[in-house]
Amino acid sequence: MKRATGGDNPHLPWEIIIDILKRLRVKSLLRFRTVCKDWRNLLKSPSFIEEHYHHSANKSPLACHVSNRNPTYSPLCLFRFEKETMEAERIPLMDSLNHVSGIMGSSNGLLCVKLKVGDVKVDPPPSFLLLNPATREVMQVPRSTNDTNDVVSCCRHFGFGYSSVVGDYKIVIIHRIDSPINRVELYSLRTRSWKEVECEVLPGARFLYNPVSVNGSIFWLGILKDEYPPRVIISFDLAMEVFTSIRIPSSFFVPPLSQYVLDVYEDKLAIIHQYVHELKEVLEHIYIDLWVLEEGSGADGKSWDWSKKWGKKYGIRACPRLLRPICLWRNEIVWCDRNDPDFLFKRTVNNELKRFHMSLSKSYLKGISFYAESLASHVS
Amino acid sequence: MSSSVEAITVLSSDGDEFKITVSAAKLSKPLNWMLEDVCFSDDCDEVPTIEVNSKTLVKVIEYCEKHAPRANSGASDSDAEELKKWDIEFMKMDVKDILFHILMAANYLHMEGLYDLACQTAADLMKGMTVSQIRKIFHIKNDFSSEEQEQLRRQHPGCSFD
Repeated sequence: MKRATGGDNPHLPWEIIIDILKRLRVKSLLRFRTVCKDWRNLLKSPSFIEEHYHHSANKSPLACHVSNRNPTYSPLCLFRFEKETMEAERIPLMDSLNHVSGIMGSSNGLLCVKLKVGDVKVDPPPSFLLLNPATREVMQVPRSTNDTNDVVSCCRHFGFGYSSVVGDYKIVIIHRIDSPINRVELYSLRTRSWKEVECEVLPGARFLYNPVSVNGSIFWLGILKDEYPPRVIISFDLAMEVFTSIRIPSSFFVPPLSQYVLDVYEDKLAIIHQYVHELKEVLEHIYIDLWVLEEGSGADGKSWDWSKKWGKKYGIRACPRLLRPICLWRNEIVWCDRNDPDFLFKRTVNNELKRFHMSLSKSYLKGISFYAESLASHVS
Repeated sequence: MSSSVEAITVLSSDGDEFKITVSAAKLSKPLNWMLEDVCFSDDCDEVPTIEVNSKTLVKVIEYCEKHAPRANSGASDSDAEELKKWDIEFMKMDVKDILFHILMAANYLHMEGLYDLACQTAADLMKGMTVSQIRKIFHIKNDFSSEEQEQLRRQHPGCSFD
């Protein structure tokens, strides 16, 4: 056997090597594929890919959004939250990313992005790309056979998520051609094909805000016409391929100037609820409650319960309408200031608001998705 | 357990004696068990051996003593910040000699915090290394045949075996 050349270094057991490797960025791991066969096989194995993803999601998630201002980069920006700023990590311009118009979702290391209509010279043009920003792999999602008319696109809702149960990424399109009838199409990355899905709970449903994908389901905040209170959570289980509507306690909707944002908290769906106690132009405080959807099993299968994780009071001295909560970041709230052209972010330290400069961004933030690096490949 | 015992003596794998305080030993389950054994036994002449060399054990004990007050009582955020800074300085040791030994020791002594810190330090060091430097520190031989290397180069243009 070849004798050690690594000085006094002990030979590390394989488990320790894995624990080190899962802390590396994807960029380095791709470089280390050529170290030896064992490492190459490890870096391809689904169990390592999953372990690495969970580590990167816990340690260093990135915020991503689309900005079209800088022509030398793709419109897609990734941001790393630092102590005082949000540092941008931009993806070099790749042809295929030139036409990105929005992020449809982020799940398990892949982003699903929408393309500008008519920009890509493939016939029929793809409407989505699936990409792994870390490995730079890009895949065009073909159009569904029914999706040829661009007029339809103004009445669509999208969702994108990953289900570990079936090991598949799926894209959902909900068409609202002439309400109350909805038609739902589903793309599976594994089968590389589109199909139609039953949608019994949906007739008449309106979808609000961007969906959130967690734990193998996609969740939208929606409105059902004949329900009281009309607002519900509509979930789509990516493995079972069924929609469910989940009630929201009506007490959510009483306080003035309420704003709601869906997010993820400890791997569960969460609602960030911002409100005030009295109506004035300038207020001293706003209140935020964090509610989490707990999944249990009742007599008829799944049951859902809301539990309040915390309620906090923040000093603002501003018009509460201008502060829009965007997401949770390490158990703190991040807001977007509607009035601030320089695109400053605010979040709290000891319940006081703090401003964060967001480099490179000059456009109004509609929403951000969270993304964590993964070795996951959709090309092979 | 006798409450008068505040520190115990342990032996490193090279036979040197070290003192470790009871509160610091609590950071490691195996050390804690050893400590209970020592305290309960009537025959206190026996000194337990820890399978870690002296050079490494000095650092492990230093880490334990620093982290013990916080682990045992909980601490404020500013203490946590201070401790984080201390950890960074602590890991600026001559790592090439000792980091992997620290990793093995932290793993063997079930010290989660130190293990995590050492893994992260190793990962940070690896970022700047070439493939052949990686092979060297991990004692790995390049086992790709020249055909396999050729194939990998085709699959991943720009990949390097050096």
